[in-house]
Amino acid sequence: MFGYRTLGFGVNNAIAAAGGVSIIESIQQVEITIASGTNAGNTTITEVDLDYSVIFIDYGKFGGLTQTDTGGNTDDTNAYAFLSNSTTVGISRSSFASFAITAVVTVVEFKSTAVDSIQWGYTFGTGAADTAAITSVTTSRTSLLYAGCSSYETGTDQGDSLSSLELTSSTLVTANRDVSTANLLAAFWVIEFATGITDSIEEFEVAITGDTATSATTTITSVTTSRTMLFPGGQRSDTAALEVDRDSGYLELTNGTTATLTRNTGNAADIAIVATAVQFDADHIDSIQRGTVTMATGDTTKDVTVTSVTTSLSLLSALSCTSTSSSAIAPEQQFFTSEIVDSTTIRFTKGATGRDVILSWELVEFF
Amino acid sequence: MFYYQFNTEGFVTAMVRSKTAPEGVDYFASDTMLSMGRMKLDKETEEVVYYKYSASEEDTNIPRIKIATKDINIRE
Repeated sequence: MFGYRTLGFGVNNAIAAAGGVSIIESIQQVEITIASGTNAGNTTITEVDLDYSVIFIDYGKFGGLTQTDTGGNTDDTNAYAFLSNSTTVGISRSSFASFAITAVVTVVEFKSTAVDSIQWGYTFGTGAADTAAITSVTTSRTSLLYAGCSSYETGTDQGDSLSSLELTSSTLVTANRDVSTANLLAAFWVIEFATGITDSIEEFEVAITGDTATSATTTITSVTTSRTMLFPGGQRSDTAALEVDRDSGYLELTNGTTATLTRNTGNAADIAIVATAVQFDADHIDSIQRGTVTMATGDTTKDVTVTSVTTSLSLLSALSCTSTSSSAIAPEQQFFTSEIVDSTTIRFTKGATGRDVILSWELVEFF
Repeated sequence: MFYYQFNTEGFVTAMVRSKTAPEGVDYFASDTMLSMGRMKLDKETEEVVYYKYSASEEDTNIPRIKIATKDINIRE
């Protein structure tokens, strides 16, 4: 019923490479479509162990979703990702819209020795801070990961679907929103790494509040950037219309102590982005490349050449975006996906021309 | 296992898939439920009732699913 294709590369039965100790059992990048008139889609993957696997969908609409239709209702256009079983990955939205949306996600199966526990879940509600009780974790070894959302906002207020995750305590996850009217299902992963896999884990937020600045920084505890990966944790805006030039920004790990959020246009709108800086032990990361790129108004795809990586051990994350467009968001022109095409090429794709997207990305190559 | 959390009115507020139950979470199911946002627990029958997307009425096209409590789980 649902169309799918496997992108680029498949399973790596990883063997520890020279100079490193692999924590990766497999990495699979897949495309999934929710067909017109349905509210879910799925695709078959090579079998993974559910106890050790997660899905990266970046910042949802900004990095993990795209569409060609001009439909902009929030309930039609947002989706979350999940593992139905060990061979099926799916995405779901709340409506049965008469157009398709497509996700590009990456399923990462860690080695059993790398994680103590993985939980997947969601919060559901209309609140500014909806919570989910989780099984207790050791917070100093645990990272949250945004898993997308489905919104019950039947209008075009895309700001209502933005939420950021917070590991409030060892037993509680909170999904925060700055515009909260309709019900929102905010999905998340909780990844508790085994002792010795990470050197540090720090959840942080970068916010532009109360002024017309175009950028802001947050100081984090010093990390070595060449082995520190950012796990997307969602983003917020206090403006319902979600004009991407001012209500969204892209995140960068500027240096070992600084994370920066950048938007195109100074405005009174308050925005924030959340991520977790996971500094892996030196044995586990082969390389990390980072950059920013502009998908021009006339682009539907934008390729970036990178230093060669082993694709079966690599994970690309888009860290959200801004734009020069000051109109309310047009999903077909500003939602985008990210994918690894081959060992030296990464690609960003939006559904239609008409507006630009300025985004940041991070390419992590594990041993 | 999928552990479901409901508010006092019975509407779902959260779900977590975990090997063990989060503290204070009483209801679970062995399989995930899609279209899971708009659902409510019938505490008398311990069934999950789906609601229509745009209305506060039960969607009878989706079968009710029995959900268990931790007390039942203990006996398994």
